[in-house]
Formats: sequence, C-alpha cells, structure tokens
Amino acid sequence: MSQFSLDPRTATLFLSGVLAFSALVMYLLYVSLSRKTSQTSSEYSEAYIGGEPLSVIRSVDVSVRNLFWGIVGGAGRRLYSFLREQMHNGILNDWGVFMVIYMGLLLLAALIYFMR
Amino acid sequence: MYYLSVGVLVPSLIGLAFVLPLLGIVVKNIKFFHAYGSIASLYALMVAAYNFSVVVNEGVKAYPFGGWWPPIGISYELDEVNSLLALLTASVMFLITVYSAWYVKDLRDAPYYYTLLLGLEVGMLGCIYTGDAFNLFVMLEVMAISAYALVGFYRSKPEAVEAAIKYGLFGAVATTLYFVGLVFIYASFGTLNMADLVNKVTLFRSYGSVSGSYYGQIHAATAIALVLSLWTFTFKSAVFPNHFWLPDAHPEAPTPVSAALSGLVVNIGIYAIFRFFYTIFNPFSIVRDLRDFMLLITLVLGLASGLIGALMMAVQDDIKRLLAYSTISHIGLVLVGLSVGSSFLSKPGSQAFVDGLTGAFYHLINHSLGKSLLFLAAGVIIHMAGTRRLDELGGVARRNPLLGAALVVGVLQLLGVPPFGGFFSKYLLYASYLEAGAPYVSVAINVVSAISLLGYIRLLYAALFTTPRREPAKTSALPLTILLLLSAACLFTGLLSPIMSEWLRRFVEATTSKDGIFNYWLQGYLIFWGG
Repeated sequence: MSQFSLDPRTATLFLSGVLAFSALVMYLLYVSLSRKTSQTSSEYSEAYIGGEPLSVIRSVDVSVRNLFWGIVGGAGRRLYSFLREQMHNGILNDWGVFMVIYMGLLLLAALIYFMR
Repeated sequence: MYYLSVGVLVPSLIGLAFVLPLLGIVVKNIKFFHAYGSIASLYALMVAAYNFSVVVNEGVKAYPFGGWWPPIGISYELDEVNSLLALLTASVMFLITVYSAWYVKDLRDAPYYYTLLLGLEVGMLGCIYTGDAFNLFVMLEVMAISAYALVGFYRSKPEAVEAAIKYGLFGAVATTLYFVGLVFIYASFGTLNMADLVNKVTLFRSYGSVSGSYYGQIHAATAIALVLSLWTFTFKSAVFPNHFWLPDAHPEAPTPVSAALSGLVVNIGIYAIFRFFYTIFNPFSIVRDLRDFMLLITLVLGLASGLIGALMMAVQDDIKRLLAYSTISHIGLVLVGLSVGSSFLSKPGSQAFVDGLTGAFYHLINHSLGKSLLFLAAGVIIHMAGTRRLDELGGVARRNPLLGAALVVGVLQLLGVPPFGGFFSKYLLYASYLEAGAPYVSVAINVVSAISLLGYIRLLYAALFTTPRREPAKTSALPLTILLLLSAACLFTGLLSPIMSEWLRRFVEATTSKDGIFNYWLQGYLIFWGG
C-alpha cells in the first residue's frame, strides 16, 4: 500500500494556495451573481429597529475604538498600571533598578556556578 | 589564500562615509548626496553578496588585517551564518538608503545624515564580520555612536534629544561592561582572537598558540566575562529588562533610521550571543555548564520580552512606538529559539537543537524584512496623514492600495500568517520546543503571538478603516517601489520556505557542529601559518 504524506510546512503552503484559490472563486461568483437587476428604494438598505430612524440608533452605538479600550483597559487595568507606571515610565532611575537587578541575578548565577 | 573581499568592505565603506562631510563643503546639490549614499550602499551589498557566495561555495574564509597574523593582529572570519546576516544587513540597508532619498529629500544636513547612516552600516557589518572579540567592542561603538547621533538627528525636537541622551548613557555603560569582560578574557586566556579562544576554551590546548598558556582561575574569569558580555548583548538587542531605551529611541529617529534600528541593529546583539554561546563558549567547551545555565536565563528573558512587548503594543497611541514594542516582542522570540541549545533542553546536533537555531535565524530574517517594511510604510503613512498618532491617521493607507497592501503584508509577516515567512519561522520555534520536551514554551510562543494580535489590529484599523479628517498629502513612486520590493521579499520567504529552511538548517549544522567549530578555529590558524 502506498503512503502519501506531506510535511506540515508543505501542507500549510498547499492549503494556503487552496484557500486563496477558493477565495478567488467565491469572489468571482459573488461579483458575477450580485449584479443588480432592479432599482431599490433608499429605505431598502435601512435597518428596521423598533421603528426608530437609523440616526437615533447610531447615536448610542459603541465605537470600535471604545470597545477596544473597554476590553484592553478593563481586562488588564492592574497589569497595565504596573507595566506603564512602574516599568515604562521613562524615568532613568526606575529603568536602572530593573537593569541592575538583572545584572545582579546574572552575577549570582555565575557565583553559584563557581561555588558548586 | 587571503580573501581581500572579506577585509576590504568595512574599511572602504568607512572611508566612503567620512569623505562625505568634506564633500559637503564643496558640493551643494543635495541630489548628489542621495546618489552617493545609494551607490555606497549598493557597493556594500555587492561585496557582501560576493562574500556570501564565496563562503557557500568554498567554506569558512578569513582575512588578517595589515598582514599581522592572528592572534597578534585583527582578523575577520566569515562562516555561513555571519555571511548570510551580512548579506541581509547590506540588502535591507540598501533599500533603506534609497528610501532615504525620498524621505529626507530637502534635508540641508544630508551629508551628515548619510555619513551617520553609512557609519551605522559599517558598524553592523564590522560586528558581523569580525573574528576578534576586541574588534567587536570597537565595531559596537562605531555602530552605537552612529545610532545615538541618528536618534537625536532632529536636534530641535526635545523628545529626540532626550531619547538620544538616554540611549547614549545606558549604551556607554553597556559597552564599558563588555570591555571589562574582555579584560577578564584577555587576562585569563592571553588572547582576544575568536579562533584562538576556541582553541583554548574548547580544544583545551595552548601549544602552537602565539598567545601562550592560561593564567589564573579561568573558570571564574570566564563566568564574569560571560555575565558582562550577556548583559551588554541583551542591551544591544533590547531584550527585557534591558529594553527600556528602545521604545523611546527608535520612534524619535528619522523613519528610515527607525527601520534600520528596529530591523537590523537589534540583530547584532543576537548575533553576538550566538557567536559567544555557540562558537567561542560552545556546547563542547570547558565552561559548558555555565553556558547551559545562562541559556536557560536567556530563555526566560526571551519569553518575558516577547510577552511584555506584545502587551505594550496594544496600548500605544503612536504608530512608531507600537512598532518599536513589536521589535522587543519579536527579538524575544528569536532569543527563545537561540536558547534551545542549552543541554537542559537538547543535545548538540539533535533535531530540537537544529530546529531551534534554524527557527531563530529564520525568524530574524523574517522580522528584519517585515519590520523594515512596516517602518517604511509608516513613514509614508505619517507623511500622508501629517501625524504619528494612531487615532488621527484617518485611514490614509486606504487611499493608496499599494501602501495598504504593503501594510497588510508586513503585519501578516510579523503575526505569522501563512503563506508568509513569519508563519514558518514561528512554526520551527514551536516545533523545536515540542521536540525538546518543553511544550509549555511552545504554548508561550503562541500566547505571545495571540496577544500581539491586539496591537496589529489596532494598527490596521487606524491606518485602513478609520475616516479621514483631512485630505492626505500626496506621495511619490520611490517609497512605494521600496515597499513593493520588501513585500515581495516577505512573500518569497514564505513561499520558498522549504528551500530556505533547508539552507538555514545546513548553515546552522555547518556552524555549530563539532566539525564546524573545529573548522572555524582551523581557518583562523591557516592564516597564522600563511595558508
């Protein structure tokens, strides 16, 4: 029985090609089938939400930017307050503390190696 | 046979750089300096490409400066890995120099700008080519001084001057510490020539060596020297916690310089770690226990760097600062790949060992191309939008499809999406730690990539999907051509991944195997015997 196998990298390249080709075929199908054959009124594209006009609905939506900050800021408030205010605050003395501690740990490692 | 081309590049390029300010007194046409910079950079690329082809076809090559035999004189020594890195550096620097002709087209200080830019290239190529640990110190200084001056190039901007001073202050400390480390090495081994050090540290013999025998307690001296060197190299490559200078320094430099600093200069620290921990103090050396332990430390630092860089990307409001944090994250991943050579994780020559190092260098190449592309694209975006603030970019990249496509390609390359090269290098890093029996590191690599997605989405959203607030400025064909070339390079590193990873695997095996290390020493000594 013959065995057929692909290594993961070649398989990824092959699958990427298949996906790209499929996407192209689907796009061409979409373009060819979505040709408008009739006129639609302006109300056609408007969402119907409780009878309110779109301008009212739009005024209370959450922008993508606010959503991003809501998630990142909300989820990592304590983490980011440490990363930004303690570590990356631009103050040389604070940077120096981290760098000197790192040097100290390296020297300690060397000392342990030498003493063992 | 001495290879003149190995030795000629760095001195001739520095000559070309230093003649520029003198020419600036006589020549007043700025276009002349743009052409001069590009031609000098093209010359470097051609010589680097020639040297690479020589090494690939004929093996390790060396050149003794001034006819002085090593270890008395300084020698340059090229193997597969450093000749490839030199080619990468010269290629990207050429594109950056050509791009500069557009970016600084009206700059009055063009002679000084190109002097510093070529000085930066000389420093990088010198660090890569050198076969002498003291000359590495000199070349690190050449590179660093050019970098400090380029970061503070806009001297009327207080932020640029502040960033340059901070960078310079800590940079001087770092190189001084490396110098002190060299004192320990020289006092113990009587030599700073890398081939001669390989002879003494690995082959444990001093006969046939002009530099004589050992002196004092070599284990203690080597331990201190390695600590000081590693601290310096992690500073140069901006690895946590020695990374603080980078997010301030890289964004304040002119954008082509930011591309060079983030795409290439940080590679030098990684290369130096490789040279020290895989050639001089290699897995077969008398200090292998300490080396193995230190590589575990670099693994932790690499992961921390990757994580902190990715987390910080998400909360940036400045496009260049976001890319600077991305550099910290990616260099961390490269260091993770480089750390797999610790004997706690893999044996020399094993699948995990070779895959990890192959992945590290592959990712280094992918990052250099992707990051240079993104910084150069950011330069065009900033020019069009008139701001660096992400919230005010107003989707300018949508106005120019080529620019938008280049931005997307750069992001996909760094994010590691197939079929771009970044995917295949991250895959190798991931696979190497699975093979090494450390799946938690593989998971951590994926977590870092996933977190960095937040930052990249923010970049794409700001540059492509927001609404313009004002009419963007026009751009020209030159920068877009450079972006097109770099985008094509990113795609090719992915599409040609079976070939590229095979080549890199061969290079890594040739350089890090017992035979490879022996050959590095032998070639250095063949010069000694007039070979």
